[in-house]
Amino acid sequence: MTHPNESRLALYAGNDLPLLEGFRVAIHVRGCDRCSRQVEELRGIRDWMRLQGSETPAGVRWEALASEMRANIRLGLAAGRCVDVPEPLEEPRGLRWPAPAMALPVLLLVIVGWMVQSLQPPLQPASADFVVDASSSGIGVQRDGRGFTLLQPRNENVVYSVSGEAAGARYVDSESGQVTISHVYAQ
Amino acid sequence: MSTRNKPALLALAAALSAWAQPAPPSLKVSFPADSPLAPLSVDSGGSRADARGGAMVLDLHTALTLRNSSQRRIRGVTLLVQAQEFSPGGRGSVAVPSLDVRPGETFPVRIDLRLLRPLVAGGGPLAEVSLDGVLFDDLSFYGPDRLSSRRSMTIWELEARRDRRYFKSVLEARGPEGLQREIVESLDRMAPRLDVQVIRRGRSTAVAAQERDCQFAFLQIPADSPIVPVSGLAHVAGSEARAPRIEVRNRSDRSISYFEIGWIIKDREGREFLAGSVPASSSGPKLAPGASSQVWEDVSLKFAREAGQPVAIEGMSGFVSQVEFADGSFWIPARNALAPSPEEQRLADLYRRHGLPALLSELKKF
Repeated sequence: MTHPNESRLALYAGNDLPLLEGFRVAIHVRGCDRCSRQVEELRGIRDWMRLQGSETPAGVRWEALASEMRANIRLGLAAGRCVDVPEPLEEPRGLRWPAPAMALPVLLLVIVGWMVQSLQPPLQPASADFVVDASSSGIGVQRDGRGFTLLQPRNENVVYSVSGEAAGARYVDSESGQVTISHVYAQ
Repeated sequence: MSTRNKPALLALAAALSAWAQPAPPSLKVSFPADSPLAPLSVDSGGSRADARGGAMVLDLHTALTLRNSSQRRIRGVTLLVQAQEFSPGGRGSVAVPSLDVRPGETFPVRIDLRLLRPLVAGGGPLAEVSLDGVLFDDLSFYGPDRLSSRRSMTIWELEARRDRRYFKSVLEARGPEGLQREIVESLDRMAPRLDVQVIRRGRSTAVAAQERDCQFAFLQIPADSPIVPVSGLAHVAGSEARAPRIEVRNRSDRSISYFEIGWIIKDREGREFLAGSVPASSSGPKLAPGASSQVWEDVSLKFAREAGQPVAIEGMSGFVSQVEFADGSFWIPARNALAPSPEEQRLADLYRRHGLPALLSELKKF
């Protein structure tokens, strides 16, 4: 005859076995004196433990003890906040991708710049005070943030002259020996 | 800095760098298909772009190599240079007169151009170089002539022939030493130079109250000059001369379509400088035989020495520098010591750099 083991009998004594398993063990315990005695002993111990747990020990005031424990818990939590390094807070969902958020305006700027660059700006009409300068830095016009200058090499024999609304420079190219005449027109 | 942001910052830096980095300079060279000149190579190796504040400075240093693909000798060429984003006003020309390029030969033309433009500007080539005209040794011309380069180059060529004849005659009459003295005197006359500023339809308001009328003194008029200057004046204040106005009379028996009056200014020390010329309107009516006309320019000219020191204008003189008749022929005066031609400048520079043997060899060429 096979007896249920001790843990199974303890569960049976506490009515903690499943229904079918508990029915099988109950049939065995009714027909087996040894297991029946063990079940009776286990039930007696459980009753004694329940009786001991329901009574406050002599000299102990439970309300005062509970208040002291709550105060100690609050004090511990407050001290912990002072010395603990906080964990990084979880970022809001909208800031989880800073790289695309920063790169997108730049990308838009580049695209708009490219579009503007591909468009020809309107032609600028010549104003009444159009100025052409002829000097050692070249012959040129400059207006509205734009400039056009024909440069000549640093040469001591540059001849500047004016003909109508054009300024000119005449010099001999030192490399080719060719005389070169450049003009810039104020129109 | 969180490592999570590094890729974003790198992307930002790369994007800003790409945006701020100017596009490589570009020069478009376009010649007609039937041009007697063929561009063989375009070397823009020295070109560069720099960002300065909100603007971009582009230095385009271009060396063109052109080949004479015609059957005639080429005496001069004029190239039109236009900035795509600076028009009107962004227009210039580079001319090379006094050439002797045989069929099949090549020669270089340098174009050094500086453009200032906003960082964000239009696309396409920054500047365009096109052919405005080619002058051959028989004085025939090819090209669209938008800059009246046919007239300019023909005058330069006539002056070159005149001056070469002169120096050859000096060589024959006085020998190499005589030629040497003549060319040294020419070099002395070419310095000093003046910086000049042209203001169209305007003047410096600061000098308006000090203006005075200054009469032109006309140099001795050659007997064969088709035009006689009658009178002329300009409003002068300090270093500024405004609105030059000259009256001339056609004393020839031919109609005149164009002429220019050379303009020389004198400072308080008595030094004379060739300032330029006052041209007649090339689109105006022809000047009939015996008729008078007035030429004037609504411009102000300011003169300064090389260091920016203003030149106090004390007097002015003028001379007839060129005349074009209605039939397309030209008249130029005899050699003028105060207004050396481009060919005289070239020959003097050749002597200065390479000495008398090089000058003698050059005069024997043609």
